[in-house]
Amino acid sequence: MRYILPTFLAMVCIFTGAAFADDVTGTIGLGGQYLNVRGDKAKFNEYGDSDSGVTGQFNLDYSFKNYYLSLDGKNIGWNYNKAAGLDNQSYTLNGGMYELFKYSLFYDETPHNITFGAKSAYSGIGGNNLTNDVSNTALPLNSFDYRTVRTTYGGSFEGSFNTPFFFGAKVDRSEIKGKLPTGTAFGQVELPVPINYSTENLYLETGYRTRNVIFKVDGTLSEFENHNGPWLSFEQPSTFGGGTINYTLPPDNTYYKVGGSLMLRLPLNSSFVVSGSYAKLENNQNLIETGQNFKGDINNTSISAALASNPFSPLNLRLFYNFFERDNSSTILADYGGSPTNRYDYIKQSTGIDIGYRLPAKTKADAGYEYQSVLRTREDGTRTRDHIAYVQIKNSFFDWMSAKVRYQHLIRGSDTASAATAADPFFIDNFRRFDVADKTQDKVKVGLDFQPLDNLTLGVEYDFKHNSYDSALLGSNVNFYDGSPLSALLGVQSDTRHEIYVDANYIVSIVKLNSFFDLELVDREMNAHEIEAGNFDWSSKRQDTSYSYGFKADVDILKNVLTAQAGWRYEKAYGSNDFSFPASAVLPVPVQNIGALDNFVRQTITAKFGYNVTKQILVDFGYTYERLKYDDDAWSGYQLADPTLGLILTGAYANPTYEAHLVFLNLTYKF
Amino acid sequence: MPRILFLFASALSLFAGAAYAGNMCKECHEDIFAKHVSSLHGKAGKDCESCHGGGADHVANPSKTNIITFAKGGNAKDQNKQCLSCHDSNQNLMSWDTSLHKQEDIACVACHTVHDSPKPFAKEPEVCFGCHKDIRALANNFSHHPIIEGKVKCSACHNPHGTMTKAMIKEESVNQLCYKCHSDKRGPFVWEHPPVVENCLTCHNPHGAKSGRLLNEKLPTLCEDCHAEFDHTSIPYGSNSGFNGGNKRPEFVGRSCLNCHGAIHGSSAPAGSPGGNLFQR
Repeated sequence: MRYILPTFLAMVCIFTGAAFADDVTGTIGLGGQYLNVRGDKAKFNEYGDSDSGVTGQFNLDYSFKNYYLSLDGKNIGWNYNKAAGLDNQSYTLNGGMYELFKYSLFYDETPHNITFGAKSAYSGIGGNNLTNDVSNTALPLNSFDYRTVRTTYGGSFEGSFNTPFFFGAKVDRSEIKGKLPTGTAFGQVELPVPINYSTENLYLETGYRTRNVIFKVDGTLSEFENHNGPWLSFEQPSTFGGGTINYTLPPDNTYYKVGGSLMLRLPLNSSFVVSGSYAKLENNQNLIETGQNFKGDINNTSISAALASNPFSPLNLRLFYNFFERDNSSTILADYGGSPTNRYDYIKQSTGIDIGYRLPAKTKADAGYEYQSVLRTREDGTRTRDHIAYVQIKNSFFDWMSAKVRYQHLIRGSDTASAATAADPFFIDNFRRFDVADKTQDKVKVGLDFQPLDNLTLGVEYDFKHNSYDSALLGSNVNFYDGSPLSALLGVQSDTRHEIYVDANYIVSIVKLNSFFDLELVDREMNAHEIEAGNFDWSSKRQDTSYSYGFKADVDILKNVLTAQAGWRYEKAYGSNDFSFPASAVLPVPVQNIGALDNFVRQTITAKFGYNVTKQILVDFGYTYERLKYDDDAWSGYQLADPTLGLILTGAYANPTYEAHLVFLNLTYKF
Repeated sequence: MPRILFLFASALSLFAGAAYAGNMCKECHEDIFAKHVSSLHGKAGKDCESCHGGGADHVANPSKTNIITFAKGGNAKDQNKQCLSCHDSNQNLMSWDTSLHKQEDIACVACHTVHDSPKPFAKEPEVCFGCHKDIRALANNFSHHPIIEGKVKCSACHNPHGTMTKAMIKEESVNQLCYKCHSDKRGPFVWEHPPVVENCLTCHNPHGAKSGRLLNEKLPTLCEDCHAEFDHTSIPYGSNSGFNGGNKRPEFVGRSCLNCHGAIHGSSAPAGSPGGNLFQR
């Protein structure tokens, strides 16, 4: 398929172009590139397939009277080192007749490269039965790549045939193949999980549309299939007792959804939209170890309504209501491995109002309020109630400047039913995890865009966000396990973010300059209670800092003949985690602060020349340099098998540091 | 009388259109006219007055004040009215009136370049990044969805013309949206991890993150934000818990918690310790 499709589409492109001559415009490009990477080629190419080899692309536009056709192909080429076609190619064909119908065909490949040259003592990698004695690390280790390639292809059609009625259909199939890492407590061994998934989707919609009324019904059918079945079998290391263990793989499932929407334009410059949907997700699993049967059955129901009105010129109103229910009706197993299974449901409702009022001097004031309630079958947060209010002022009095200030405040209250019991030891009295705990949140956003000169634009934005959980009752004040007093509220206590974004564009003569600066500072504080050894409270303060800046210059050296482009981008991120303990704490072992937490520096330099040999022929020549250096205390000194740790790893994500040089030359023919 | 007036106005409109729709405009706006003819709007048979309104006054007295213009800083409501005169019955725009972008007075031409490009489709993600600078930074972060690589478009997840959901996402809930591509995460599983099935965003930022796998924080701290009260999850893991440290811990090194709890999105294996209920297999 990979070789036939581009050849076929290129032939269609060329022959169609030749046949219709003047009605056809487009480009065909062919090029070559040389790539040299030292270090992690997978991270450099995370979503690409760049390597030494041949590259190409084309696009074609044809129109005749009311009919149009557009054909595009990207990343067509040959990877010299793999001796195979590129894994990130894509093709689209769009066509139709204006106001009557349109259609499309598409094909896309997207790789996701994780780690090349991973190592495992298991054999059978890529299948669902891994065999070997992984405790014998002296064995020659098998080498493989952690990567997936997603291939999606399909088509769509939409038509109204100049009537108020419309019909649309889309069908596609997505296939994902490759290997991804996972971990298991059985032997503390990292496993290569075989990925061989397919998902087939069918989407249909029809309805009626006029200026004042639009009505639509739609339906979706989606079938997911794991071609390796729902279990991965592997041999547990003999040091852990050996034996074959079954690991869960994603089970097959079928998803149906039906929905409908209605939009009415009403008097007083008002619009009302209401929509609803019902979705069902189901599967049937034979649980091989116990012989039990599990029927998955999850139902989602949603209803939404919104009314927007502009009853008189300065005033805008919007009222909204949303309802979403997840109802899990899957099988409950009274005893599955010694424990009963449970189901998780929730109902989420929100309603609110937004008011906008236009003031003199091109100023607009907005304010709004939203109430959201979530009911859950979750012991630590049976219900949360959010009150969210905001105000915003925007001014664009000067044509050359606009400014915006926004403040938002959230108050969350929660209910809990968690109570420690011998049968349910994972909850302690009143413990609420941060996503369902009481909290207050403040958000501020300030933005300024201005154009002081015709050839200069500047944009500045500052964002602030603070979540505070310290007013929440996040846990009991008595330890369930030993009755000792807990003096700290547990889990994350607060997080604060400061973000600054700046960009600028300047055009002077034949030079166009772009630059940007981004900064993000994040602080988090958390508390915990050590109960494994020592039995003391502790706290940590985490800090993450990221910033990046870059410049890009485009120069028209000779107008319509010779252009040059140069760019530089620098990114740096670093983090730390500092621990603190009460003076009375007796630490079983000292704890050193973390000084390198997802630290990285990435620099990218690009240079490109474009030369129009004739009006039809363009030559591009360029060079890209990119370097990434990564450092983290949890990854430094990485070892596949460390006897002290007891872990047996494969190298997944281990060292993303790389340095790459890419030289390319492209020839593009326009017709 | 009203019928006569209507007929007269219609005839006037038609003749005026014939007079100014083409050559008259071309005389002064030759470059733009040439671009229009080869654009999607031009090929669909739309003339200058389809968008800019009647041009008789403007021809008599060329001025920006007597013709509808789409210049930056113009009134978005008036500009959009022209676009919606044709597009308001499009079912993909049925939530436009109730959308955040309309509420923010975003003009259609802020995203759609009608003259400068033969196809007036918004160029993604560049157009979106122009306003959403924070998303631009995230999409370029160490871990990110392939947005800047052109493999995932903003409009794959968001409808900029409005939906009934927050952030104008194209499904009724965040998880239903993520499951469209990540259908392997749909389950249903015997054992569910509650925050996972309620909201993927509790742990992931879909636009990008400093930490790997789009995680909001690095492990184990992300897990400890919730699991700070039990067993080994509540131990402080310092840098000496790493491969080179004097207190090596499997909970800290490499993929951290996921070294053992790999099935964190759901498991159908039996309970136990280790077991599926702890997402350990």
